[in-house]
Amino acid sequence: MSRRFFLTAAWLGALTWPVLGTAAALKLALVVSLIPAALGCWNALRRAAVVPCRGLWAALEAASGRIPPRFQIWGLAAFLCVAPLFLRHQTKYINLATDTLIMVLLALGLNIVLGMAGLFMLGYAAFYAIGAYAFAILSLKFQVPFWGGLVAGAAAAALVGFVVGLPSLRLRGDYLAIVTLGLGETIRYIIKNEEWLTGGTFGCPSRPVFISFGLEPYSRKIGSPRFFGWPAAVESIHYYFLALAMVALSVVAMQRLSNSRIGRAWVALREDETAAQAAGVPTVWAKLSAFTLSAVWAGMAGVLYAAKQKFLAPEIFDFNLSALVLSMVVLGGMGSIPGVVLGAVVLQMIPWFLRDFFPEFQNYRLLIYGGLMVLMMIWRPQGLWPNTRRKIELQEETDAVA
Amino acid sequence: MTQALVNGLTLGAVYALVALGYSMVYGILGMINFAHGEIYMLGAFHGILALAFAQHYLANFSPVVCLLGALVLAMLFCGGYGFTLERIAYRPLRHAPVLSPLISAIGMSFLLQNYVMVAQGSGIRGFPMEFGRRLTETRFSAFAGAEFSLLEVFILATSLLCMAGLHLYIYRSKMGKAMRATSQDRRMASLLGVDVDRVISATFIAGSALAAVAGVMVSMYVHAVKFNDGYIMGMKAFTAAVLGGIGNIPGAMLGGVLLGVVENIGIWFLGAGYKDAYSFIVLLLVLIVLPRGILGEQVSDKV
Repeated sequence: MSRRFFLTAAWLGALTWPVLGTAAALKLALVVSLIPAALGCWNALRRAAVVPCRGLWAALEAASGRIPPRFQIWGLAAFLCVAPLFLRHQTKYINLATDTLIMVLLALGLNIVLGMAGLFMLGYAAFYAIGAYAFAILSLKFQVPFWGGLVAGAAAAALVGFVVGLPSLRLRGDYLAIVTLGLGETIRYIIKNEEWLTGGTFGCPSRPVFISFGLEPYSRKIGSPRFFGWPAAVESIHYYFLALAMVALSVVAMQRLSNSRIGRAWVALREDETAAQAAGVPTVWAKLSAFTLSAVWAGMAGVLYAAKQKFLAPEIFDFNLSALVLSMVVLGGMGSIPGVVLGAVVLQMIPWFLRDFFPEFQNYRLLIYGGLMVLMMIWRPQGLWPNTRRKIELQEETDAVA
Repeated sequence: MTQALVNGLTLGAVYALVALGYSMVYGILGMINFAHGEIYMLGAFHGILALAFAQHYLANFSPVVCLLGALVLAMLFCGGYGFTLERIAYRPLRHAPVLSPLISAIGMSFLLQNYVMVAQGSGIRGFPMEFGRRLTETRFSAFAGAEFSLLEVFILATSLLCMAGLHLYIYRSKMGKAMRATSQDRRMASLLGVDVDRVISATFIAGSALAAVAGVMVSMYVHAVKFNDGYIMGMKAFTAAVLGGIGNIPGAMLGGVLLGVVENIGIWFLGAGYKDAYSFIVLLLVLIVLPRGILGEQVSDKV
């Protein structure tokens, strides 16, 4: 066991030596050769801690079991609504929370096509970009108010999603992944090249005009917008609540979607396309609706982002963003709504909290997430918070192989 | 126009080299090795790093020896990366559901890309051109006003040499025979005494070494490499592999050359702004109109 690890360490050290340089390659080799020792320590620790931990866990479970799930949800909602009010002037926390909520929206959208319908889509950032740019251009050139822009952004993304979904009628698996990646990249090239429309590499400003429920339009003269007639002096909190409301509505919508007729059609499609077709599932309709709906969510997230950020740089919508959203869905558990939310929150928050202690984490982020995706596929393919149905399936499959 | 053809032929030969890696892995495992483009990028980096070393410490060696040495080193290390990649990311998932190896491959692609970015920086890394000056400065005029450099001849010749070598390896060596057997029927081959794990490792090593050659040559041709170059190259090479018929080795060569020519003619007609988008459009058209590719024989259930 340890001999094998030692050989692996020596091999990896030698392999990475030209790229990493001597010191870092030696460090890597050292870390790898220490894995067995670390595993041993971890197991010993677990064995020592198993009794108290289990007691603690059981106590926690009993405590949470005493509170009905409905109260737990309302409690969480109340916390998410009230806590930011105390942080109103701490814009950076509010912005972090808003960004996280936008990523949650994106992850939920990707989850429709990847988790529920089992269709592989890369290049998801393109739909986000379309929503954002549609909103920015409409608000800048036609002074379209936010709610109109939201509808238009979602509609534009849906249209493109439908078109991108068309190849899925003939392609499966890896091919679909590459084609959607290519289409996403093409959209990015269009954004970069068509300067008359999108500002090209210079970026594109957006001017959100809000018509909130107090019908108070945003303008230089009147100043900050009002939310329910309440003057939102700190603008960022305004966007936070908007994002929170959208996430809450989306979670409810997703839950209902996954139990609806079309949701079940998606599951059937994911499990076995041929069998689904034979059983009378309209696969064409199911595939196209998965792509379209998924794009709608990305478009809405993009509109929110454009309104909040007020400036769009084309570099934001590159492959790294698609990769990030993909790793959120994979980490949380494909097809599981709470899992996807958890994955998005964890992966969005970690770099932010680590940046004081470990300022270079931003650079290492995708390196670590990539490794995490590989490890998750090997050890926990169902994700951190798996979908019940999927968990059972994966267990059965591993049993069948073993 | 003829200039576009000449440039396209050169680039196409390189696409073909990378496409061979996709095709070989697809032929044997039935999956797309998403991280293959990163191996190409690693090849370019290893070539440049080796030449930078030679520049400092082996200044009185002839440039040709240095260049060949860098090429061999890049092939060796990339073979190692390909081998390790398969052992870590694909072998444990060989019997998992279809989506798992795909996600693991994409994860590995991010990992390798960002590993190079962290270690070597996110900027452009220049090729030490004194090793290639002789090659780029000697130019020939060809037919109809087109012009090509010795470097282009070198790239074409090396690519053809590699392809011929691969052909010999697959059709003459014992391992090549085992590869062909495995790609026909993996289970049957293993029943007849072929060590399938070894065959798969050999496939990855050979494909990665070819990608390394492509990486070194392209970095010399365009004078630089960047940590995220592999991903666009991977897309194009994959398109080439599909165009020629995936799993089919002569098809990969044909597809690569065709794609290179199409791309350069596209640039010539429509400008360079959408340069990288042409291959996606070609890919989409091929998958819809001719999913088997030009030389593909059997209908694959993936398409």
